[in-house]
Amino acid sequence: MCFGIEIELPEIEHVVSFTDNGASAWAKTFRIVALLKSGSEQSYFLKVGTLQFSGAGEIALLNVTSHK
Amino acid sequence: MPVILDQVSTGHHGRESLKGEYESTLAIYHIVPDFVPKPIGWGTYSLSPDTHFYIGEFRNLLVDELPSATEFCEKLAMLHIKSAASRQSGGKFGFHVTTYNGNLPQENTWQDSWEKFFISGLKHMFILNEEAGGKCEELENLLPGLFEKVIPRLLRPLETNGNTVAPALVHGNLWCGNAAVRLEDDAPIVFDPSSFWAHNECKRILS
Repeated sequence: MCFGIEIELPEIEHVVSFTDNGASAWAKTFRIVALLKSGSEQSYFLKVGTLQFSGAGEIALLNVTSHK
Repeated sequence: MPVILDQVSTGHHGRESLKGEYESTLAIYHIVPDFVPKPIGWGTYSLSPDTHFYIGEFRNLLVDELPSATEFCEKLAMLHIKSAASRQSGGKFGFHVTTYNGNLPQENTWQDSWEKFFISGLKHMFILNEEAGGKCEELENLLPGLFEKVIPRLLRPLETNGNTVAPALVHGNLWCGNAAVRLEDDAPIVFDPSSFWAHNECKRILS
């Protein structure tokens, strides 16, 4: 992922879960639970913009374990 | 763990709307931190330059439960009062980025009076309306009267004869679908803002 602003995310050991958290007409939302290097778990809310769903042809692959 | 999203290109508007959501949430977070889930950032997928995202802290919310009216209104009033007192917008009405109500971009250009901002935002909405639905002569005939008589007569007294409107940060798209309570303590939470500095009683210009 490429951030539009400078941010500091904690170092992630691995992603515990990545679950669908609902969709609207123009966005999908997900919950990411990550185990941090510090040993604690952190939950993130991810919203992905979609103005329309075509479903065909355009598949985005997001490797959530190596986004740094 | 590769995750496949059946995601299509969102283009410029998708990027700007998620940036607007981040900036709006951050602005509220700076005034009343526990009224929104903490925002973290926004950006674009490295492997899919047309796919954009917003990321924040995940909060467990009871989305079907409306917040208590008393607590909710106290928090909302705190947002308006503290932001107005902060004078962060330098007395101006607007916002520093474009925000979206759904897929509709809002006109947030800074204005030095509430009347000017309201007229500019409403004119913008009529342009969007014409782009979406075509010209409507009956409506067009009403607009000069609306902009030159009705709005000035209603809004100008708020800012003349010693009266002033202190710009307050408003949520910008406040309705029951954008409010919930936190699972752990029933505290009211708002989300999906499209904030701007406004008259504190303004919900949004129009969409």
